Amino acid sequence: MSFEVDCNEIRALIPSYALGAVDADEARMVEYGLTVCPELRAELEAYRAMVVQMAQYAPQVEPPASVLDGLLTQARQQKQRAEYGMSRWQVAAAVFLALTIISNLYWMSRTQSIEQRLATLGDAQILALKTAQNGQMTGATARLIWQPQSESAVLVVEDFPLNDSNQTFQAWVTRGVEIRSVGMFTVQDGNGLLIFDAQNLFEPFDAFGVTLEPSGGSEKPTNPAVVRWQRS
Amino acid sequence: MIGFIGVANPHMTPDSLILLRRIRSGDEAALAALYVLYGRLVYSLTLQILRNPTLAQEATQDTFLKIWRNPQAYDETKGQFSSWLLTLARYTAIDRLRREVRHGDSLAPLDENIPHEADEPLFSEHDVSHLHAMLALLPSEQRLCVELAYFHGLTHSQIAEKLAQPLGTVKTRLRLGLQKLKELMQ
Repeated sequence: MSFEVDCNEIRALIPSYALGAVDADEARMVEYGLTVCPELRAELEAYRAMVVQMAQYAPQVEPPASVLDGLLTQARQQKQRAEYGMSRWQVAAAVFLALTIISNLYWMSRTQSIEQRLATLGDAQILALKTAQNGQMTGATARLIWQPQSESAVLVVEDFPLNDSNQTFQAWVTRGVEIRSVGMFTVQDGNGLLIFDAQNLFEPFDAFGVTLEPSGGSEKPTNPAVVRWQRS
Repeated sequence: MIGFIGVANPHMTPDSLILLRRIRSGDEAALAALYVLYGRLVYSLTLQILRNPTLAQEATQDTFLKIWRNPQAYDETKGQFSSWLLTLARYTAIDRLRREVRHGDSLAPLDENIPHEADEPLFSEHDVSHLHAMLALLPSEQRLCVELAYFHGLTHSQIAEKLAQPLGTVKTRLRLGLQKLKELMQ
């Protein structure tokens, strides 16, 4: 059995459908109509993009650091209860430790005296971000998000210089005389993200940095660091 | 592993997929990274709807916790991750708004019945004008329908009931309003 579909009638519902403002029967009609009038899919995507754009046109306000703290605390609680069946006291102790470290992590991401604050962490295993080159600010910043229980670590970079097609950024971690590459990435509009295996991080490590290398990477850093953290 | 994503361009799906896959395995760093990438966008949207920083912060956390609990809810065949995330955030904020606002028979302005924190202004005059200026360019009856659909999550029939207007009239006004808005944003 097939139903008559008026593509113009479906087209008229596309804007509201993209916004989620159609009633249930209308939604079913649009979804069926899109199979008969596939040319309307492009229009639907355009309106969906507009809905996303409306959100971006909202005044952009930075949330307080406590939002991330609370999010990770709740996420960890849910995970620990589900996986380990930990007692309430064990959960509270783990949450307190995580919160303390995460609070320092997020606070440090917003201070210019990063080296001083990092020094206070000692052997803290959750470490965050950025650096300067030879004591001078390059304008670039980076945030390293890492937890010992996680399989991965994430490096988020901002305001990096642009790299051409023959170059790539490469992240390094060092301990003593040993230096190891943890991955390569490129940036877009100065921003980039590198996700890598957390096991590649030495525990503890002495320095973490990012250099600009030839495409394909290098065995050792060949250029000064764009961002760098050094344990004092 | 090599990967990149533009923070200034949060629509890049492939890296969002990588993070979602890692979240499925309980990777908290991946959740934190997802928040770093999209947290401000989500918070700004929920604040725009709830107009209350505390509620917006909670709605932001709830949005990411929904992803944490059920990362497989995103179906990449149905659209970009950023669209899905902002839709999730919008409805999370709208659900919270409905719990906070007392419904009356008469239509109240959007600013009423919403708890405000007596603090600094939520947005600067310049910021507010950026989005609302576009809405203000719509005919008032179209603007009202768009605002009820977008900020309150109402459907055609719900808007018609609230405004005591014929369903067909509401459908037309909402369609024309969104079409006009799309033109203004291009």
